[in-house]
Amino acid sequence: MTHPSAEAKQLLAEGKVDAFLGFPPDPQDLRARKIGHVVVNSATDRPWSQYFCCMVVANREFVARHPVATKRALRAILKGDEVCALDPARAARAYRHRGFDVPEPLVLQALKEVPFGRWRAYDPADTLRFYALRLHEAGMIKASPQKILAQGTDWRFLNELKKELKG
Amino acid sequence: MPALAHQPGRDARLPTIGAAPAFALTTADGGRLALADLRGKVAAVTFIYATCTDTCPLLTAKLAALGTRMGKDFGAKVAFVAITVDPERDTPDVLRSYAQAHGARGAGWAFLTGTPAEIKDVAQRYGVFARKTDRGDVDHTFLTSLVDRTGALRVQYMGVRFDPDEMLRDLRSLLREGGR
Repeated sequence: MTHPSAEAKQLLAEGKVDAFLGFPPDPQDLRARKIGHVVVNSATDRPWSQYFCCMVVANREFVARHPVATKRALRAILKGDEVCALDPARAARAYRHRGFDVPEPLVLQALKEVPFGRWRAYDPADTLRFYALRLHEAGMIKASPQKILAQGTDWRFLNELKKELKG
Repeated sequence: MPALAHQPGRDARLPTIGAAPAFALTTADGGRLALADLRGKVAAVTFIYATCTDTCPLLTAKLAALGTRMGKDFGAKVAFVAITVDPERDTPDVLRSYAQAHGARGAGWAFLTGTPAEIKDVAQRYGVFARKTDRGDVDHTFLTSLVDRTGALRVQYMGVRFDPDEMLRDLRSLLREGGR
């Protein structure tokens, strides 16, 4: 079942659901309110912590037609990631300035706990292989990891940016 | 791994991102300096402001130490350009004092200021975010860009915690490429 995060948290607090999949800063919020406990933290628990938690997905035709724009967009995302890693306080302020109504300490805590700044270390192909295998086992996808890797990935931009953007 | 295997890319040329964004700004001596004037030199272009009390001095000190390690090449073949993100307060005099206070001396250094519009334009084109805070400080991202002798942008360093040895290697690798 899916619910908006505020509702999911409320259901957990009321004991009407046993667990939910939360994204920062919701787990930090629940921890602060002493509601529930963590079953799995993909940022710190292996094997999940060894892989990217997010992937960038783009329209195949757009990428083929606009490779420069695609790379610029990815560069902007990675620079944003670096800012979160290097200066989480600034990132927390920016988050609040954009109208997200979450207490700044919770945002700051979440930013410090999420492993930003490690995009150079993770292997995107291994990540995709790992998650594809799990989803395949669960019967949620039919394609093999090999097929997804062969037909649905393009690491050129990330590989180029690893060399161009250091930190 | 085979015994003779080496780190891939370790000896490879740095990538070429594209033409480095051009600028022509006011130096701490009151003159004008354009990126084109540095053609033939390897340049590190960064962004700071003089009243910063935390990170900018760290970055300046780090670059100053690198300048020293460049030896006689610093100034003759390598230039460090620090562009203020606080043009309202950072006059040429203020930048000159800042440079002296933080050991950024010598012909290799250029501290630049300009009109707010000029600075905003340059910062944006280099991909630097800068905004005045309510306290009067400047909230900005740290990005140091290495530009080769032909004016091409080759690599960018985020933040101030980068490995100075790596930047030194990159500067020397750009020097070895030659070109004009």
